[in-house]
Amino acid sequence: MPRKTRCVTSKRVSQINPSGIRRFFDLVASMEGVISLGVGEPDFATPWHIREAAIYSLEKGYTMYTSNLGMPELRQELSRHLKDKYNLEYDPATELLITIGVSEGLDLSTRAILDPGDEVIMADPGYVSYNSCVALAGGRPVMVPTSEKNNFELGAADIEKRVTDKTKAILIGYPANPTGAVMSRDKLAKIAEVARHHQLIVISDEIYSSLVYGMEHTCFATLPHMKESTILLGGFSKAYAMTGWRIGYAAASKEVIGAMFKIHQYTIMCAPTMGQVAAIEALKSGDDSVNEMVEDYNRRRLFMVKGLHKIGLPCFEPKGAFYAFPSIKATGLSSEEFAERLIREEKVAVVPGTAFGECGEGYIRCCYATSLADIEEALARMGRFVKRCKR
Amino acid sequence: MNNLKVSCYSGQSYAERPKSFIWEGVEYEVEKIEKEWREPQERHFRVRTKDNKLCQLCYNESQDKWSLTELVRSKTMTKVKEILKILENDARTTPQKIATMTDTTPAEVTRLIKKAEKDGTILKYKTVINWEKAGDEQVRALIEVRVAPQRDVGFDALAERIYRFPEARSVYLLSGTYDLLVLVTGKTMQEVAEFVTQKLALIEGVQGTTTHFLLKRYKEDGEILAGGEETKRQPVIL
Repeated sequence: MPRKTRCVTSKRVSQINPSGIRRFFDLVASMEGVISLGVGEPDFATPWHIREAAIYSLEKGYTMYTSNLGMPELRQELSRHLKDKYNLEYDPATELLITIGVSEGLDLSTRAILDPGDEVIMADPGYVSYNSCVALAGGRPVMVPTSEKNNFELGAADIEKRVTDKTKAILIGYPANPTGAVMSRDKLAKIAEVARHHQLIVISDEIYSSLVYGMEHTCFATLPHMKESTILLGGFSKAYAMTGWRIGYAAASKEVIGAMFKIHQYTIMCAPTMGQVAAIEALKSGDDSVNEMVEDYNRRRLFMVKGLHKIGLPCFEPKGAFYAFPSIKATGLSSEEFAERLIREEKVAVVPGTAFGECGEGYIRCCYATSLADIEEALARMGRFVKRCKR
Repeated sequence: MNNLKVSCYSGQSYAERPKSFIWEGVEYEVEKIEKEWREPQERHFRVRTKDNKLCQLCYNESQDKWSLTELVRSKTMTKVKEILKILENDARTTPQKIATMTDTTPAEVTRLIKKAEKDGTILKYKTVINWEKAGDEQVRALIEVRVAPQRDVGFDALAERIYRFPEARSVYLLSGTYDLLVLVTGKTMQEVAEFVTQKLALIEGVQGTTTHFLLKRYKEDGEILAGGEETKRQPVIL
């Protein structure tokens, strides 16, 4: 007797929602003349000296696998970088792992620490991968609503309320995608206290650490006693405009890196060699080109935020990353309606806040990593649209 | 640590009003006291110096020590630099727009630009034109000039004789095997050659010239002329 037809895909994957706004993406891709504020990457090309170093490496024949952990020289440079920047000491041989962007770092860290049913507390709205990575690793994401009123900060008390005996970790990502929120050292320290009290691991995605405006970025691992229990995830994509190179890193205790390394060596082998060479050059060359880009982003940030206010979309001041997260509640539309009508009627692409969680309803994400002329034109088009909606 | 000496007017008590101060070997005269206030054990003065620097002086009474924080000058310096950077990239950016981007007021931007124009920080507003595209072909040549420097005036007098010619678009004094580098433009090669042989080479003190005609311009003043790169991004990325 033939077997009953079974579902081809696993339950674990089936339970993950495909991005609900796929249809919207397809719509954007099919249209001409669209100004997109929907991107999530720098509009700079990688600084030339970094590209040049990679080209040279190809000419020299650096085309083989590297050490599974990543090139020793890169780990050495990274260790020095973290020491210089945060006064944190990570052993390049055992406490650092070069990953394929922070994306792999997230996947590895959740898989390395979670058992089925373990809970991970995180902010809503939050970056799209966070809850999916946790679910794919067999864990259960526990969402903490955050709001504009609290600058989209993750409150320590709100975390505390959700801690159960199944809670394994807190996943934070500041500066935040999609809100642009940055948390102060004091407030992060309160989260650290909760983590210490309940012996939770903190996965801290700090990919936007270089992109902060008018305040200092706090590396979570620098908080008292937090180095041992923090998995620090970082990368080169945003600071050095190297998104396509796919190079990130994880820094954590020997035990955790060891566990992450096991998965990494069986699934990935090593991060791309050419990208690692480029990353070495990026770290060696200092922060001049980074600082210049940050200055440039800051000008556009101010321009975008003021512009949004002017056209009637109030926006809390984003202090980091390159996103503004204005409220569209005054238009009476839902986030998805707003985004879809905006693209159809005015050809401006933004990302509905709901792509990042239920608490993103009533907001849209606008990326200002695009030319000033485009921001200006997009704001003019959005202004017309908002006026029509409010009528 | 800080090398500060303050002389002040002392009436009924010491340090009623700072008159001048020496900071790192430079003397500053106080033109005006903008603001003064007391804090426990400390007297604070925000002063404007004769050369328009805004500084904050603090006198600690218990330690009998002066300290100085340079306040607004450094802040406006960066503001001016920010404005200059924006203008260097696009001279037509309006004061309103610049004000938004630098978090200040259009009036302040206009004031700072006026000031920069006046003191020669901003020399001129020009348009970068690709004349070849406009169908107006130009011949350019870089000319190395060896000269004999003159007593008292060195190279400057000779350089002036050269840079007064409108044909000389840029003139630089260099170290190395020759002295002056002159960029010359003309309508034809003939015209440029004539300028070199009949004007430049004949100037007294010019010992020799080497003319290099320019074959192709790839990049000028930071602008790539041969069609810059176009980055292709996905329209939506989460």
